[in-house]
Amino acid sequence: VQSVPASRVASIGLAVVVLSLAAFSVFAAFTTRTQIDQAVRADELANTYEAGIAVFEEQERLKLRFFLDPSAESAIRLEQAGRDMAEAVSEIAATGGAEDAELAREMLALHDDFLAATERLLGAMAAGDPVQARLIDENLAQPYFDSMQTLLTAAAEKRVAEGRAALSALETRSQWVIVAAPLVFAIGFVLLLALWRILSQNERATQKTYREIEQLSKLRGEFVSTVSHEFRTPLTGIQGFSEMMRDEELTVAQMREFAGDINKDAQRLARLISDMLDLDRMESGLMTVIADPVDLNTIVIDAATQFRLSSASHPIDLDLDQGLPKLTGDADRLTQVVTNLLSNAIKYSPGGGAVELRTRREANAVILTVRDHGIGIPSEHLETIFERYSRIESMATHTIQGTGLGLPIVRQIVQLYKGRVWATSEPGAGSVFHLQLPLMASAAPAPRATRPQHA
Amino acid sequence: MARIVFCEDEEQIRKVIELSMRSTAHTIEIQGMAAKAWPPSSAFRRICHRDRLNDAGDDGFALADAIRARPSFHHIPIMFMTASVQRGEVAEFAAHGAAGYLAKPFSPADLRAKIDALLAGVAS
Repeated sequence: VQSVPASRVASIGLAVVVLSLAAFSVFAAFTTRTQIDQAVRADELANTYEAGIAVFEEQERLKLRFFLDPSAESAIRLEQAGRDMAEAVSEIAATGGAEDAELAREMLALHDDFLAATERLLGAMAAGDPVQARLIDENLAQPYFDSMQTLLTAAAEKRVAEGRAALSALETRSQWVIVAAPLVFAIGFVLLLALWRILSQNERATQKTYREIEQLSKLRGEFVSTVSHEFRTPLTGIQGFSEMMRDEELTVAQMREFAGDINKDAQRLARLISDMLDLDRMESGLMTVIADPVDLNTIVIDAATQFRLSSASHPIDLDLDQGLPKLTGDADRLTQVVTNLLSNAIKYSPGGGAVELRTRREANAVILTVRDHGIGIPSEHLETIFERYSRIESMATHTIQGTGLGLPIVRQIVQLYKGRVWATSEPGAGSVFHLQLPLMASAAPAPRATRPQHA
Repeated sequence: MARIVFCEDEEQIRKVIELSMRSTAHTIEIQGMAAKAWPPSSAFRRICHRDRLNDAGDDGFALADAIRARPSFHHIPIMFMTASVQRGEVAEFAAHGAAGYLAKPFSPADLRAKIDALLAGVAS
């Protein structure tokens, strides 16, 4: 149950890590893509500017050539170079941004004047007046050209610098992504593994809890079935005999006999209820602890005498240490312990056979063993038989009545007096129950105040 | 009038059955599951010898299965007298060929009425 919050935290953590990794991937891809686009655009723009500068230089070269060779072909080329300049400037406007467009507008305005001056220059040359042509060039065409070239060169330098900066930034980003991406993904992978492990552990814990709940539910069902059986069986006798007493004409002897039968079944019911309440009190720490001197041998002898009367097919042999010191405890409770063990020894020996009880001193403890030659206990059940409502389901035990309360009561009482009880067995050959109680030890104090015993 | 065989391990309940049925015209035989306690003429003994049911490990279900396994006993109705009446347990009775069940505790009148109803069902 405690692992549920851990599971929630792990699930949220898992989602956060996955989302973070996805966000990182998207962010890295988007920013890198943007930076690549910026670098490409800056490079293209720088190239456009450089192309423009080349066109301007070509125009200057063609103009010098025209003055050396003022042929019609040179004139055509020079005119074409002038138009190429306009195209180069338009290309800059198309490729660049607002600043470049503004620059282009300014240059194109100058270019109009430059073209007009160039036409006049060509006209003077065509009229055979090279002096006039030179004057036009120096005073009109060349100043316009220089103005445009100055603007273009300054802007080109800026754009080339920007292109280099963009490439540099892209390179830096690429290096960062190359280093950071594996690192981030490695951390993410480790976190995912850790969270996955937490979730797996939680899943196992949850499965274990489910199994325990199922086991508890199964035990509860078995308990209800067992208790129902144990209650209904004596009730059948009580109901049957009492109705016959009520409805039929009976002799006094028959009345007495049936009353005895009813009493027997009523006592059986009372024992069952008493056992259930005793176990509840003991498990809750509410059992009254009595610390009187107790002679275990006397208890064993009394119990054996009682059972010999009702179980003729099971000889009860005693081997008692006559020098056994007294214990500190509750004679009634220890009688309950010995009675339960002896009752089980007989009950689980349906084929008969001797039951042996032996007492002896061992260091600072007293040992009681109860040995039978009955059906025995499988090794995997040697401990579970002391659990509440636990009964061994087998063909051999199917017809043996029991509530699964006797041995848990034995263990609770023995533990109350700081002793221990355990079983050894050879299935098919019998069982031995060992009881070890400390000598003159004080009983364990009840953890809470005892509540009044019900009448 | 019918011959009715009761199989019950609880001594007190065997006595209730015997007293309840003495006022009827049926012939009754009441035994526990312990085969060694059965008289040689017992129908149970014959079934158990054939099917090797033993005296410690087998229960009413095993006995019902053994009866149902014999074609010559197919006409015999089986009724469980039981203190196990949880839903799953009741479902098992029919699975073992029972025609009905009587839940404990029951009164002598309940027992007689249930047997009359069972025999009437067979007769019809």
